[in-house]
Amino acid sequence: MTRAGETPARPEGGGPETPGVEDVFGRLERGEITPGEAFRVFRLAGGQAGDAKLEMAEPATERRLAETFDELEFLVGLTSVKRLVRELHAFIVIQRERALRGLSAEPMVLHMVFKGNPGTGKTTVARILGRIFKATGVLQKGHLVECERADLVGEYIGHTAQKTREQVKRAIGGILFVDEGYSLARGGEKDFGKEAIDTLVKAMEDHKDELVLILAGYLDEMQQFLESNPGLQSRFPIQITFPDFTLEELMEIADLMLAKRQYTLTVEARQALRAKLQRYRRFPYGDENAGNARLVRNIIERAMRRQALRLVERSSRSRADLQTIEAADLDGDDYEAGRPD
Amino acid sequence: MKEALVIGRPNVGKTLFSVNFAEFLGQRRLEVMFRPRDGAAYTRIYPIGQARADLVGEDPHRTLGLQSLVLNVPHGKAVRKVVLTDSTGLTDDVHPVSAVRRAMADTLRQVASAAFIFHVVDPVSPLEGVDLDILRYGLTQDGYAVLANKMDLPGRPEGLAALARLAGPAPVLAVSASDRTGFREVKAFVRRRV
Repeated sequence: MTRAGETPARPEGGGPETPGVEDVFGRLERGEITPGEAFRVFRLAGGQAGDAKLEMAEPATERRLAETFDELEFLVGLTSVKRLVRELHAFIVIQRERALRGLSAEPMVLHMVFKGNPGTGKTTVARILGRIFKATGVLQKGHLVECERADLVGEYIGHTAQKTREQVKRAIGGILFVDEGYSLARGGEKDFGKEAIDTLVKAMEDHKDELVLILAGYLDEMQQFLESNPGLQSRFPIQITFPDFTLEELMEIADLMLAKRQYTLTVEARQALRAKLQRYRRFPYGDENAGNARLVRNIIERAMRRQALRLVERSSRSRADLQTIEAADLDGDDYEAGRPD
Repeated sequence: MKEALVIGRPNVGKTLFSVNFAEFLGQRRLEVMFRPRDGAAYTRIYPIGQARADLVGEDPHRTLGLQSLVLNVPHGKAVRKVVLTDSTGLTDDVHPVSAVRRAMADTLRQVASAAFIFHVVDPVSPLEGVDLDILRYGLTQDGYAVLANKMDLPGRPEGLAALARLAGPAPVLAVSASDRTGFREVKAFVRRRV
């Protein structure tokens, strides 16, 4: 702390390009620079201010952001979704810069609708968005609160608003992710689901800058839901469709999952897996899991269990045995018993 | 003792905030240490109402030089002391009066050693000039917070949203120094960090 009355050391003739922090005070006093310029010097001088606390906070944020984008890139497929996320991030950065330079900046309404079958990456992308929003300062915490109809809709009059508000409160500073959002509109006029929608809409207005609401659900149902509530359509300017994975993408996902779990497929097993995925895609038995990542996970975890059963009966096992999944391990059902394979 | 520095443009309510916040924390008497550049530091004791009448004014640069007062911040069952230093308003341009410039330089000197920086702004218009420079600097600091003052006046709630977006990760606390609203959040901010 500098005592009153003390004259600062004033190295005369210090070049303007590298002013020492000490000199800044002198120059400010002599009217050579403005207070704003002094702060700029402070910021750029970083640690040189003689005080260790002048430490830049930005690199950590930048690094986190880069990691998050890497994670996004590692997701298999989802090309259009990835592009949209990058667009959103760029938009936020530019709007902020516009505001910093005194240009008019669009208010950022980031509520979204995610349309797609289960297991197509909706929750994963929502989680990544939360982290991007946090790193860019749009949201304070960027956490994800997942909920569904049962968490929002109550059993008696007044209960719904209370339950919904509770979820909203948990999500403040982050993302409220309503799974199967369309189910709020089912049940007609007398259903409490409508009250949940109204409460959510109100929360979107009240906490515009503290909350991002994502409604997720099947493509067709979400489409109907939005069309039957015209007011909602305009409140969710960002609508993302998550396509089902192609067979190649599903195989890629399978490879990633296996590599992570340290298993390998024999050539026959790989063929069997491919045939199986293809079969499920063509004849999904009305099962919405067809063509998505969750199906792959179910098949693989099932195969791991069958492999274990096969090995446990043997008297000796090699390290390679423990890692290898054979075609036989992929036989049979992958869902509950009773479903046709 | 940690130091909290109150900075901002002239007439955004830095001194009124300092006095009323001290009162909010239970101080009935203020022991204010003045640190003028010419001459030794001296202390005056004010009843709180007197402090408001004497220190707060509508003419810019009423505060010429640093004025510090000791705050008692409750921390669990104990009380931590924090020095709250009120400072001269900072302007966009070089000020013609040398005494004001000198007071501004003193403010800047204090910035490096303060544990907290309360950047007081009036959110009625978008931040520009010196406020932006303070904000950019503040974003690199841990104990930095923007105090959006004058929330009791029209137009401020609208400006607050834009301010919060601009400030990004820096905490923005909405207060009204004259109505003493939002002080609880400021207290919580300080208490978490003492």
